[in-house]
Amino acid sequence: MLEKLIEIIVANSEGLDPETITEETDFVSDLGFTSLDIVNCISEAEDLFGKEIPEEELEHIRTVGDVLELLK
Amino acid sequence: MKEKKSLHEQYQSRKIHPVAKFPYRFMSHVAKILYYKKFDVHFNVHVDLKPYRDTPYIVIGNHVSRIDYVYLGLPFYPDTLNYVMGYNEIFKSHLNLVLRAMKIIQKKNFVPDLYAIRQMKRVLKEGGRICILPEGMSSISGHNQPSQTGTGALLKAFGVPVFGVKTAGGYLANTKYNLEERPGHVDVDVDLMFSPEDLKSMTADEIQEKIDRDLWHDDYDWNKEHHYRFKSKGIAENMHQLLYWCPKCHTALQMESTKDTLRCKCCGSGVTVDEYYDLHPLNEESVVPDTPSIWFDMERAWVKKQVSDINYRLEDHVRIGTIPKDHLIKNNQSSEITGEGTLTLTREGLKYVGTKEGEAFEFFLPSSEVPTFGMCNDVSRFYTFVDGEFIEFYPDRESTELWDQAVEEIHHLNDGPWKDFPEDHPANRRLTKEFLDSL
Repeated sequence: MLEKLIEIIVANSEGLDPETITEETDFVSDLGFTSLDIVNCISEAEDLFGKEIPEEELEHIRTVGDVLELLK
Repeated sequence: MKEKKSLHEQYQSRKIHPVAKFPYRFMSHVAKILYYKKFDVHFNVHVDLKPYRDTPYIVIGNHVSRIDYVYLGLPFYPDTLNYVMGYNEIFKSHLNLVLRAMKIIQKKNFVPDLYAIRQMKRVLKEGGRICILPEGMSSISGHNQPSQTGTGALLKAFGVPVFGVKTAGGYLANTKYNLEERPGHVDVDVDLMFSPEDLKSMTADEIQEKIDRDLWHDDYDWNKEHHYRFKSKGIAENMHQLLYWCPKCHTALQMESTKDTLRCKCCGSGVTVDEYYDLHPLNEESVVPDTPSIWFDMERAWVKKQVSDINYRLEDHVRIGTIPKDHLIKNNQSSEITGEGTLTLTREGLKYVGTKEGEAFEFFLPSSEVPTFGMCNDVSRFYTFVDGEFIEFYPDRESTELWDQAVEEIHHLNDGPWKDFPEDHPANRRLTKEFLDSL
């Protein structure tokens, strides 16, 4: 699951090395993602994993691991 | 038993869809009756909007006042717009019902907000239209501030036509420093700013720069040319909260204002202000900037110089306000007081030590995370978000604007993500070299 999510994150960025991304990676401070970048990643991950993250959980998302947890 | 959701949780769990036609059109008529005649609003639409009817598009505009939304919708009528508004507005008791019916998208300004972005995407995907004011806060000074980080990238990603609305006179009718309504004259100009093809061919930075140039406007300059009268019972009242710095002796926080007069308690220099917002010298020794907004720019230049000192420190005792969990805020307030403490700004960032809701509370935000403060009422208080929570500061001194300018200039100095206007922007050509050298 993490690998698939990392693939989505890399596809939504420019030149990110997948090896540097872990569950602890922070979207904003580590990857420099904007809110839109994160929402796009979440949308694609939701489609892929067939589960929707509720609206009220969005404000708690900081890291790759946060998204994974909500999609489990 | 399931725990009851707080108001915040209730509103952050709403899925926003395009606003229904009936309540939107009803409210448009109400706005028209209440405001258009009163403020003498004139619309100039420079593009044929018919081909765009009922299709998704975005409306953006300069944010001149807290009631811009009543000007922005009519040119696009009968199309409906979902307005993107400051997060806290929906918690005000007198606005709550209307804003919920209008399906506004609440946004936490100046911080990442995944919730708001997802709602914008959904509304456009479902064929609706959204209205964004990229400055994120109504004008403090009478002219624009740079648009929020990421605006260009957002418009490019959405890829739908973008209409620009430029409002003139709206600030002078509803200034930030005084909540009095001052009927005069308002011009609203509408044009296509970006076609989908433009957005595709331009970079996000180019789009952002065009927004900051095309929507640039200064209400005081505009009225120097047009000379409309804005009726007021005290045109200069509270002006000292905004123009807190003396252009003659360069002392801060010693200005005072009465009905039509603004003067420095230290040196006596001052102005009288007429209903055209023209400034006149109070005495022979007074130093008088061309307009209040030039005055504002002068004090910002002074602040910029102050914060260049590595040991710069601004400190005030403040009360803090938060949004209640279980009830709406009454009396046109923006928060309820729940604590007090000491707020400190240094070159590193913003620190608070004190109480909140009866318990010890402290935080530190690095300057990169505080590009500016929001002001959702007047110039007596300012807010930011701490771990997603709305925290409003009420300083004991009338120092809000000093806090605002200092935090912005430190953010720029530390190369924070929110950028100032580029050097060749009209905003940066207003002060003389002689004045800048005198600081």
